[in-house]
Amino acid sequence: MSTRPGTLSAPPDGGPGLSDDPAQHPCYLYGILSRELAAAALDDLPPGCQFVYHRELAGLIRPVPPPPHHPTAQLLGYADTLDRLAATGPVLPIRFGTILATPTAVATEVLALRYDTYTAALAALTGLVQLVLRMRYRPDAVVREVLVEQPRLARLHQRVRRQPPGRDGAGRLQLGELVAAAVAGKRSPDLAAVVETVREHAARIHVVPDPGTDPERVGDVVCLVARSRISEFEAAAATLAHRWRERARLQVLGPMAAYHFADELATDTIGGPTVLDDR
Amino acid sequence: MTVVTSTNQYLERPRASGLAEVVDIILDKGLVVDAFVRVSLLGLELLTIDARIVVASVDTYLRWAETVDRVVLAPAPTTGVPELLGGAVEGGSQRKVRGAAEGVQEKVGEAKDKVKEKLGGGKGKSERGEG
Repeated sequence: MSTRPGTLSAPPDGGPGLSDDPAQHPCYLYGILSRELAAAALDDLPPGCQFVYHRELAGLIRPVPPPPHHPTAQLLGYADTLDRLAATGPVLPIRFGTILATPTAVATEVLALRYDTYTAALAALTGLVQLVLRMRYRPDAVVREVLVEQPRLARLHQRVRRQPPGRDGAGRLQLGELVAAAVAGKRSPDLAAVVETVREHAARIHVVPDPGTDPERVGDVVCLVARSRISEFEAAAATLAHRWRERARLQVLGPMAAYHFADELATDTIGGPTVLDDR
Repeated sequence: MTVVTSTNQYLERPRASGLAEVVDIILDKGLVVDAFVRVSLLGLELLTIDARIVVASVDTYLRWAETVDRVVLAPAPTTGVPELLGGAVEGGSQRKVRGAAEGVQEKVGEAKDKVKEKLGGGKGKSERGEG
């Protein structure tokens, strides 16, 4: 590799307009953790990631690369880095896309500014990880259920399908709309049943009904679970998955960083088990 | 860590988390640091909105209606009305519904393209539409 004189310290990917000094580059802030945990994770960091310290806290940062930006790759990289760190100890994920002017600003304007809050939130997160139970209906089974529960839908279907082809559009649309509403009406009690199943195995629970992107998606039950209780949590969920095997699919995602709980841990005082409904 | 018992096979565990699994869990989540020290949030709000465009209701309703057809075991009676005639008797309202459905499908298609563009180059790009 030939090295021209005078270019030794220039970063290989330093874009135009960026200073050569990495301490002056804008950076993503990925998460906050203890200095102790950061020290243990130093060897395992993805290239580019580094820590900035203030007293006993560390901020996990990554320099913002020059454009073009690849949000998907960056999002997956962010999640992967945080999830691996969270497997070793408490980490507060910072909202994806948060950029600070310089690494120094992370220390002086974030870590120092709310030092006690972040320290308390990390303490509250000790030993806990996030698990997500994602529920989907098996559409055929759930439609059979609503046809039995609401005979008028079955009757409407009889009427619609007796009409000659080409004449049933509006009727089909109405049928579909009513069936969709009937299925949507089952989401809430079903998600409540998921919560009941895992409640005693989780420290905190959020219910997140699906926003409607996918008609089969029922929603997520997002849980903060003690690492030592993951297997009993999963066993309880598996019992429900078995019971519902004909009508629904239950997925478990994680363990992962506590994305869903970071904000509330930093804002509220820590209490007992809570169930929060996001609706 | 994964204890395999007999019932556990019904609890699904996606082996690799692609974008489809991850996006709802992490976008808009995480701790928000005080706005006045934050330089930017990268304009991902836009991506979020696009990625979560609600599947147009007309499209969804027709899919549910198809499901009803499928689960009602008896096949729909064949009327013998040929396709040609079907076109001729198609009423105004039917045409409107169909037009609306097509328009909505186009819109969804556009939105999906937009999302794909934005997410371009990523690993798990079009995993969302598995259903």
